[in-house]
Amino acid sequence: MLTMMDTFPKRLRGFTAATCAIASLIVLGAAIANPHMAWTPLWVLALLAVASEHQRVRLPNGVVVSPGFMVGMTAIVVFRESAWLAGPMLVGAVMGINQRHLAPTTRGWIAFNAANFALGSGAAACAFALLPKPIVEPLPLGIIAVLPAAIAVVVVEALFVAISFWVEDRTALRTSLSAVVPALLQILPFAFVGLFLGRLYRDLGWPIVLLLVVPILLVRGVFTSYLELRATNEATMRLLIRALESKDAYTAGHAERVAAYARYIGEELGMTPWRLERLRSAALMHDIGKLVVPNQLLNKPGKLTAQEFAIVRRHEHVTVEMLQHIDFLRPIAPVVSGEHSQFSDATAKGSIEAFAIAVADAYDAMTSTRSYRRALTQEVALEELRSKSGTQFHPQCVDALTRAIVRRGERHGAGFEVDTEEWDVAPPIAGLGSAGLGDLAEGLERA
Amino acid sequence: MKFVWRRSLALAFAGLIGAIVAAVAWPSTSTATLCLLCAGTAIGELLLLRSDNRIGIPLSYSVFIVLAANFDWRASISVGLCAFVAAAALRENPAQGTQHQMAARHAIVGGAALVAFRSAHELIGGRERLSLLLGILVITVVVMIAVDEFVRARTAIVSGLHDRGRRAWTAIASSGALMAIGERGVAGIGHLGVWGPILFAIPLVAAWYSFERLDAAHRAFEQTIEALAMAPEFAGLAPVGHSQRVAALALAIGAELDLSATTLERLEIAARLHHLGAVTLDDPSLGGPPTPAATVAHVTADMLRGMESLAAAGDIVARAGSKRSFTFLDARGNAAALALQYANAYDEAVADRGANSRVAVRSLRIAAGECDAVERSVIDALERVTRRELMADSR
Repeated sequence: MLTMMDTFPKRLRGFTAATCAIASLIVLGAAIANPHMAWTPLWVLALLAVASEHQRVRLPNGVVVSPGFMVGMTAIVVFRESAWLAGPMLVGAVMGINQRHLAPTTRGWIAFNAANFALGSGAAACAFALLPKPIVEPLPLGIIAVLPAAIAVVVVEALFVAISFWVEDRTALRTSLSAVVPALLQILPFAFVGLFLGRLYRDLGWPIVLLLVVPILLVRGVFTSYLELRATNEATMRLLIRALESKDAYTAGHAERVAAYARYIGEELGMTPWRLERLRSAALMHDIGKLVVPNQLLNKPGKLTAQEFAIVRRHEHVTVEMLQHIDFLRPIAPVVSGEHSQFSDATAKGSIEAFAIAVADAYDAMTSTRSYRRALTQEVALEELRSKSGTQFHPQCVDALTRAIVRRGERHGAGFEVDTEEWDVAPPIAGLGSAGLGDLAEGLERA
Repeated sequence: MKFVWRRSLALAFAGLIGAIVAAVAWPSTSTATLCLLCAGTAIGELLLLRSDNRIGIPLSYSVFIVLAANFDWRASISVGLCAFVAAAALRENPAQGTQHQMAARHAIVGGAALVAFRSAHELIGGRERLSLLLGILVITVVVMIAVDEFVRARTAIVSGLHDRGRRAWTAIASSGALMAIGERGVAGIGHLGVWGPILFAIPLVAAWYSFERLDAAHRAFEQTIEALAMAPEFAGLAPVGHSQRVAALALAIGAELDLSATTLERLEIAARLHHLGAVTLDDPSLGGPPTPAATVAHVTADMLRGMESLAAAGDIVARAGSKRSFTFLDARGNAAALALQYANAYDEAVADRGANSRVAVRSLRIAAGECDAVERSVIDALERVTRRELMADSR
């Protein structure tokens, strides 16, 4: 997939030159046909357009939110009575200017985006100009006038990108066009605000525009610090995972896999994004208790002495205490403590997050190689989950995980492990237990 | 409590939808606008621009600006009363300040907005020109901030004018002004009626959303750090409460030395996690030689440096751990590392070995010997901070 951070591909040169030429001809034609250009709104809105395109924010789910079309819509309303086509197209064209693309290798993207946004704004301006004044002016009805403009800009820009991708590497047009509806939903609020801003600009002059820029800049600033803090938090959780992996090589990748499986379960159960994020954090950190188990005991190949065993048990209490200090880990404390590790009607009312992580943990433990046995096959692991569903595991969570894995066609377990390492002492093929302190203790008792 | 909160929110939304319907059906009456403002105020009382668990600024302040600017005082008082009831009845129990204190504060701020706008309007005159109107709105907001701060100070509630508080006020003031101008227009031109407040609430709600996300991320981050800081203490590899105390002391020293906010943030992470590496090493209580502190610092620093966003904190830990080999490095990072080093040494002497605070500082000073200016200033700061603590304790 092409991203705008890459070098501008040579194959797109012809396409870009052609579309730039078309857009310029349209602007020129419109300017000749209608020479009344309002200059103040042109430079005010052009400046605003460049600024707003620099306010793009990429959300964690990959969606890019930009207030660009808000300025575009403002321009369409402001220029409606003067240069109705040339004005919005010029404002659209300057949106292509982005500081990130100033390097010689990426400069092509500026022309590419300028043509794209100019044609998009032009299409939206046409859609808006086609509506008669009695529809656009009175208010409750006037709001609806945004819709054709918004649809026009989204469709034209999606087509532009789709055709350019097709020129570049012959990918299916359909995948590019599937983004139209989400894009429309994303720009509609901006389009509404842009419509009203345009009316206020037209009636009261440009200072009013500055009033709206302030809150938008603020929102962007706060949201950016949120994204940064989120990244730092992510790094801190990885720190924990690294510390765990350096203590116990067998658990490499375990936390991430448990987080992925827990996410599958959460998605199948229809959790909200906020809840999914908390579930992910809890899953990533569910083994935090292992940090307090001395290295020598965690990696001891043979049997633990009674004294060593007592130390492990003591650490189990400490783990629960630790988990209870942390908001997003508190729900999983009962599982680690072993109090409610068994599913029953009495415990079913507790937080489903705990059960989801328990199932994810058990599944990954069974499908990966541990010091006490090699990985089981996926069929055996799922069968084991199913047979204990309703007694040890939450039935909904087991079903959700099975559905998610089958639907994705993923393969885990023996023969499909991601990192197959060479062990000093090859683990036995058969064995019991799973991950976690409770099972460690259980395995020891048996041994 | 959660149930009550949700029900109230549902009621407020019902009010909002009713008001929108009324506004569409009878566009000319201001009753519809008033209904909308009532609903908006009630919702605004529930949504606060919070930061770091402090009491935030409610979005309803924006509506107060609209009321003060566009409606006569009877309407303002009736909507204000509605807001007061909403605030007193609906709010979640906050960390500081009772519900009634907050309801009273919001009512007082609303009243102040009304009085300020009216007085400024009479003094400066007309809202026929945009520049004049903007000037009056600025005066109104300044009075609102002053009154809010004054009432906070009277009720011993933390100031709302910290970094993010300033941003919150800017968002609320600019959105409130836009709503007011959009609703009534200037000199009869450009009025959008009830749609003005609705549309210009969009950026405000977006601001609330990003503030909430930031707040949630901040809490999650603090707790992740907390969990990691606790691990070596619970494993018996560091004294319980050590990282908490060292972080508090190092931050106090850093603040005394006027280190930047970014450096202080890094210093806090470094101080909270400076023993973390111990958990990856063999436990000396099960036999084997005790791990030297320098090794722990080295391992911890390597772990932190492995993460891009924690690398700076890792540098602080590394420099703090490696005695005096860092004097040639930049003064700021140096000061942070020294703050951590001395906070750690002081805590070990006082909390673990039970030394007297003054004796501990004096022996640290003697141990430092002929040191450079930065190190001397760190020891001076340590002395001031610990002396203040002693005085606060004896009081």
